[in-house]
Amino acid sequence: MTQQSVAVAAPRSARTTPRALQRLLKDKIALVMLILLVLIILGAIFAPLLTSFDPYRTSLRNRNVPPGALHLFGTDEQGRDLLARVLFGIRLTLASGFISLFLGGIVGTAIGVCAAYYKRADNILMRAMDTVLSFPAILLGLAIAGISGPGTWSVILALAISTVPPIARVARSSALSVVNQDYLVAARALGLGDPTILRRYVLRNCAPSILVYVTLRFGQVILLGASLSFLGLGAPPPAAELGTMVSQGRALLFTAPHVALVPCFAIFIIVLILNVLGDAARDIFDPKIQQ
Amino acid sequence: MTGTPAAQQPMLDVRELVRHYAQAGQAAVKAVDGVSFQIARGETLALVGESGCGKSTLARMIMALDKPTSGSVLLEGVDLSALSRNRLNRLRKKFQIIFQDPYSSLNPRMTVHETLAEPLVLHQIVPASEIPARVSRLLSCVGLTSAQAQRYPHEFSGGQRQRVGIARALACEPELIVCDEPVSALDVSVRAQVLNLLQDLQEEFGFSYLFISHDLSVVRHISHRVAVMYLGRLVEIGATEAVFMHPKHPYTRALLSAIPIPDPNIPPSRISLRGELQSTGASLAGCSFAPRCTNADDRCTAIAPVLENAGPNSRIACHHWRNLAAFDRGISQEQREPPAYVAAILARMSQEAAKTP
Repeated sequence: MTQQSVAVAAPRSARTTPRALQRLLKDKIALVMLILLVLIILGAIFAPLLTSFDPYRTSLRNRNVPPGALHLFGTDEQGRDLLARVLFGIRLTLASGFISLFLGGIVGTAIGVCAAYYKRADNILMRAMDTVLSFPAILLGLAIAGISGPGTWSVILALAISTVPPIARVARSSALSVVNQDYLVAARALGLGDPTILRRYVLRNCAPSILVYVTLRFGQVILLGASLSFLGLGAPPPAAELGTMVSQGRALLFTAPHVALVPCFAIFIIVLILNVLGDAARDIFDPKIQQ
Repeated sequence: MTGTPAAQQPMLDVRELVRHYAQAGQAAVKAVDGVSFQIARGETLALVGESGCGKSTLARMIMALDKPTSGSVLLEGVDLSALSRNRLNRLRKKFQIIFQDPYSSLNPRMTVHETLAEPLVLHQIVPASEIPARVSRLLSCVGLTSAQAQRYPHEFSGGQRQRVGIARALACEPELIVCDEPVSALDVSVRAQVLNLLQDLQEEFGFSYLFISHDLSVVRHISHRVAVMYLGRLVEIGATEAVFMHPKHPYTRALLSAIPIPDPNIPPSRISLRGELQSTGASLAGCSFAPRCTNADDRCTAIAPVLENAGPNSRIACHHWRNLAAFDRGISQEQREPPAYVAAILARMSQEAAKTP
């Protein structure tokens, strides 16, 4: 009996994943964007292998060299290779964006789900979220940098904190639609404990909408992170970070525009890709379309 | 049918259960206002009443999902509200619930196997190694195949989902099952199958059912006793056939007269109630049915009638039940047979049973 059920089960459970994949394959733009993103991430990870230049070694003889055969993206005002710096910058930008989203996502989801499930905590938690939401992320970044000094971790912390309230709101609203369902009443009638109910019933049903929102949010987080380091709140100048590079290249905008434009373009491409993918993820994982 | 020795403890004993919902600036809504009844082991008690009369609130309190304002629910003599959360959760395997809407009662992200294995693991019904076997047994109990265990709820029809919901209730080997309108969301042919399934399971395992419904033909088919509820109170409770043949309370009469009789020779004798359903917020001194009752007098609006014995196994809450004219729906014996669709299925089942020795 059991073996038979397992045998029948295999093609069935395998069918769910390709369904999402099939949708992705149909969405040609999203597919192209996904391939580009994978290439960019691979490029960032294997940056030292892709370029022989050290992103931190200055060369005063090769200052502000325009893009060419040797320096593909040119060099900046201290003669550092821009391709190497952009690749290392993307690495830092993507990593800090991912870490802050991860932290903010976990905290936000926990707060939102608890607010929906424990009705008494709802008001306190969500008003606290409103309070955090009322501070613009830039202001938050300034405050945190003022306390702990500028640096990548200050940016990550500011981004994470500013990510918590919107994710908590999304988590709460999707959890609210779950907590009134009969299957949750059934779970309580079975005698399941709150942790199990939250994990197996509430979180499993909310996960798609939260994940979609997180994907949509990724682009914004990258943009915010770049703005914060542009303002000098991120890693201090020698570091290769996209926002800092734009800020440094700003002075040379008329004499050597490529110094500012190359990191600008990198930010633009990454944010564009992440936004398109976020939209695609919404279409693909929307549980209503799936059913 | 109910014949239980007096000494035996009732399966479920509901005592003076009250649930009021406080409203800011208004009188509290008296969703359930002093309801008492008992269910014996292996008995089916049907609870009927129109929408909003407090049936589901009552069910939630019996399932210990909602705290009563006052009163108590005793399961085999154990007061549920006096238990600690842990002890209550351990006791929950003894009473389970089947929901009305099969589309919202199953977790869409859990396979049928996960749904059915969950209570088995939680209450340690069987050792871990026997769980797959038990899940397929549960599925075959409700007429599904074990090959369907790995599917998700959205791959099933409404009737199949309801069967999964019943299997989940059966999984922890309960003694009492609260059925909150279990068939009203199903179409007629599936309805009969599910009803027969519930009856067969009762014969096999000796469950007690609290069967909440507003479908009187279903109630007559499945229940041993009927309790009629109106605005949070019981107005009549008695053996099913006695209530259906000779209803005593004016509200029960009105309710029963709404069932169409499929016989052109019997003139329709529908009792129309006057007025509208009262708001449960209004606190009435007297009988809650008095404003709509044709027999109401000053006494009815002043003093609330209590449930009093009106013969063996029958209790009525009405001041005038003795004086009311006899009510006979004039249904002869043949027409009291189960509805045609049920009869057809029963006939087919007995044929099949005859074929297989």
